[in-house]
Formats: sequence, C-alpha cells, structure tokens
Amino acid sequence: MKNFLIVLILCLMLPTVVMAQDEVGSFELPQYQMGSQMFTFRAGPVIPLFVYFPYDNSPIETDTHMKTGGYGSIRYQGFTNSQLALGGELGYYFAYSQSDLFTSVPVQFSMSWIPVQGTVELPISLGLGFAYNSYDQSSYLSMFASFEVGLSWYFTDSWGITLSAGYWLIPELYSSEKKTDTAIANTMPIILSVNYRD
Amino acid sequence: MKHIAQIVIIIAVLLTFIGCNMDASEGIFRQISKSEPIVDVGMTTILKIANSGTTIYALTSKGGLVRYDVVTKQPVRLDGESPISQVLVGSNGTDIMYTVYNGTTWYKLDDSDNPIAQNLPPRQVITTSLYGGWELSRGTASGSFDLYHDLTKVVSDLNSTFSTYPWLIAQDTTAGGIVLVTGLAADSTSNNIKYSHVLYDSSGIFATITTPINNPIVAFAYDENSTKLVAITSDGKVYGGTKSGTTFSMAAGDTTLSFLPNGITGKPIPSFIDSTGNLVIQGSSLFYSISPTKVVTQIQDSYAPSLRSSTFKITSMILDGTDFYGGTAKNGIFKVDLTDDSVDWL
Repeated sequence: MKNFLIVLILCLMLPTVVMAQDEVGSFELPQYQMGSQMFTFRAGPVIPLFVYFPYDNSPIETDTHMKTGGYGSIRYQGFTNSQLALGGELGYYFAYSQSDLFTSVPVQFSMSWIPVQGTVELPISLGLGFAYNSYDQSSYLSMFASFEVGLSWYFTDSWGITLSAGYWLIPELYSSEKKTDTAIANTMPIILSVNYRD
Repeated sequence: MKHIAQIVIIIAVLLTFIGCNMDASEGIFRQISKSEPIVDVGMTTILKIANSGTTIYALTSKGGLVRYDVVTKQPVRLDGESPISQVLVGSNGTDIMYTVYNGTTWYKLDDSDNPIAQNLPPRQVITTSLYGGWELSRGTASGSFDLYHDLTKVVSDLNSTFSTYPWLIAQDTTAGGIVLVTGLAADSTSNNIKYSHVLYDSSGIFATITTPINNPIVAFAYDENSTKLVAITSDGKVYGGTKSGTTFSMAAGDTTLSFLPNGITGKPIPSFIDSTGNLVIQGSSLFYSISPTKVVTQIQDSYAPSLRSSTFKITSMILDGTDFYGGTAKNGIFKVDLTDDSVDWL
C-alpha cells in the first residue's frame, strides 16, 4: 500500500516537473496581445430565477410566470492587453410567459478578462448596456447588466467553443404613481459559444 | 483601466436616464408575473352562475355555449356546434336562450340543458342586452325594429326613435328590470349628429334622458331608492341625474374615465352594480367605482391591480353574492371574493 502511494505521488508530480522544465527551457508568447480580436456567436437557454419588486410586501417573486427562454447573440471584442478585451454584444432574448411572448434586444458594452489562456481558457465577462423589451402591447427601454463565467476549448489555433453560465439583471424603473411596478428581473443564461480569435 | 471605469460609469449614468417606460400601461414584469395561461376557448362571456358557483354557463368564441364544471374544470358544449349569433339570459337570471346565424328561431336550454326550439313567430334578432331578457329584432315593415322582453314584444317600431340599430344595456330592478336603449336618434343627420337614450321597462317607456348627450352610453346604474341615474358615455364622461316624472335631466361630472372599448367603440362595456349601488367597470389601469351621485373612485382593493386591463381584458362581469365573476378575452374565467379580494382563476 505504501509503495502504491509513492508511485501515485510520483505520477502526479511528473507533469508538473515536465511543465516546469518547459517554462525554464522556452519563452511562450502570450495568446493575446493588444490588437488581437475575437468574434463570438452565442446561443443558449435562459432560466428565469426571480423578479424583485422592491415596493411589494414580499419583494422577491420566485414564481415569475416566465418559462425558460432562449438567447442568441453576436459579440466582438478587441484586446487592450494580453488578458483584457473590450467590445460589444448584440443579442435577442425571448421567453414565454403563461400567455404571451416576452422579447428583449440587449445591446451591451462588454469587457472580458481571460486569466487562463491557451487551448483551454477561462473567460470572465461583464456586460452593461440597454435592452429594448417588449411584451404583449407594452415596450420598455431598460438597462441591462450581465456577468458570465465560461470554460473555452480551442480545437484549432483560431476556433473554439465556450460553455458559460451567467447572471442577467434587467431593471424596470418607474417613478410616481407607477413606482410600485418597479422591478428587476434576474435570470441565468447558459450559453454555448463558437469563438474565432485572430 | 481608469479610462474603462470612467466609460462604464458614464454609460451607467446615461442608461439610468435612458431606461424609461415607452408605452407600458403597467410594468412588463408585473404583467408577466400575473400572466395566466391562454384558455383555448377564446373570448368568454359569462351567462349564469349556478350550483353555488360550481357550475358556470358561458358563451365562448371558439367553444360555443358551454356548461363549465369548476371542480373538474371540464366544459360541456350545449349548443350542438351551431354557430351562435345572439345569446340572451332571461330576466329571471336562469333561462339561457340563443339564436344561430341566419336563423329566425330562439332556442332555450331546458332543465337538462338541451336546446329546445321555441314555438314563436320567426324573427331576425339584431342584438340583445345579454342579461335581463331584452332583445332587438327586425319588425315586419322594412327597416323597422322592435323591442322584446323575455321573448315578448314590448315596443314596436323603435326606428321612430333611433335611426340605426341601438345598443341595449339591462339592469335588474324590483319591478322586473329596465333596459337603456342608446343610439343615433331618428332625426340625426351627418351634419347634426344626435343620440337618443331611452329607458324601457316591460310596459313601455320608463324614462327618457332629455339632456343632449351626443355619444352612446356604454354603462349605467339606476338607484331605485334615490331615483338617481349615473351613466358613462363612450368618450369616458360620467353623467348623473335624478328621475323627474318620465325624464332624466343629466349633468356631466368633472372626471373623464379611461377604459378600453368593448370591441367596437360605443358598444356597452362590461359592468356590474355592487352591493352599495355603485357602478363598477374595468378601467384602462385600475377599476372604477361610480356612485349614484357620480362620484368616481379608483378601486384600490388588492384584486384591482391583479386584473389590470393591460393583462386581462374583461369581456363580461357578473356579481353573485359577495363574489364577482369575470370572463376574459383570452384567459377564461376568474372569480373575485370581495370579502378578502382574492382572485381565483377557474
């Protein structure tokens, strides 16, 4: 048993030693640098979490009456340094309530930080923008905020896929007599992306 | 990094101001949180509440005349899949009658809910009051029309008072009910549009509104004790007056109501008279309660925000004891228990 443990520990240490030798023996250019670009095509389901009605006695409404919807978007980002990319995203989100279709067209300024790079990457993104929301005969231009963590795998130098999960906030703000309708929708997108980096 | 933070802050501040309601009469997420499944029977008009509220008779635009079991949630079609043209509930609140398209026969549901053709002289029914047993049918002379109550003719040749087919709005009274007939006056011309508004009971003219009101009345309430009449016109004005002999002299109030038309502007809108004699309608935002003295109050009870017209377009209302039932354009039937303001979708 003792010998087995020793062998196991050695096996676990071996790649570390090999990688350490690589680091000592060569100098790797960072994956991205200023001017690098990334195009992303994104789609996936969006799960409604809850709606926050700040003026209600029970402000958190978990029974949103909204079904799991779908989202599709295109995103373009340019790198300002080896880890930080700035850009924009235009999307389309739809979800059915119990009776009608809710749609939202978010336009976001996005910022991504990619601390782990290479074949496997770990992008963390923040988005802020606005969205044109429509439901039944109503429409509303709101802010839109998003946070997302993903895991990417590049199967070629340029092409990769990302699976990410996030958190969206869509605030609907009112004043005076309609202030009781003020709400913040909280949803969770699960997005599969196809990335092209240059 | 400093620049990025500045940009983000500027965008956030800008969007706080940009984020605005464009035309939502009610918050979008509020509407969604109250949404109910679309019921596949189309527009629902409630006709009768029976068996202590466990059975509801209704006319549906897709499913015809149905008897709906609230417990099992099963509708049973009663009209033999004939396309119904007009439907009418008798003044006793029990008899349900209907005519079919291009038909001249009244069918009445018997005790077993079977439609029985009534042995009456054939006639072309133009419109009904839905409740209260009132009916407008073509007369024998060309272009003439007559008023019927519980399938019996009350007034002939209403065309001498009204130039086109008027609308009928019924109200129960201790004396058997009255109907307000409202429409273009017989002497109305394209250059001088005039409306007539006349109340009838089963013996003839009950009273005439003598004040010129040049819009159709879409809802009214008559208080038998005070003999006050309050009426809402299609443009949202509220008129009130007291009966004097066989006339009403009406005056408009200061408040203008906002409500959705019932399909056609000028067609009577769903309403009911509550236990205190107030006329209740669904407004564009909340419900309105209008007293016999034409005092308008927005109903703030908890059921009202749950039934805003932006989410649920009510197409018929019936008060049954302390419950009020509503049929909707898309979402079937709801019940409001007025003792605790709870809303149940049936």
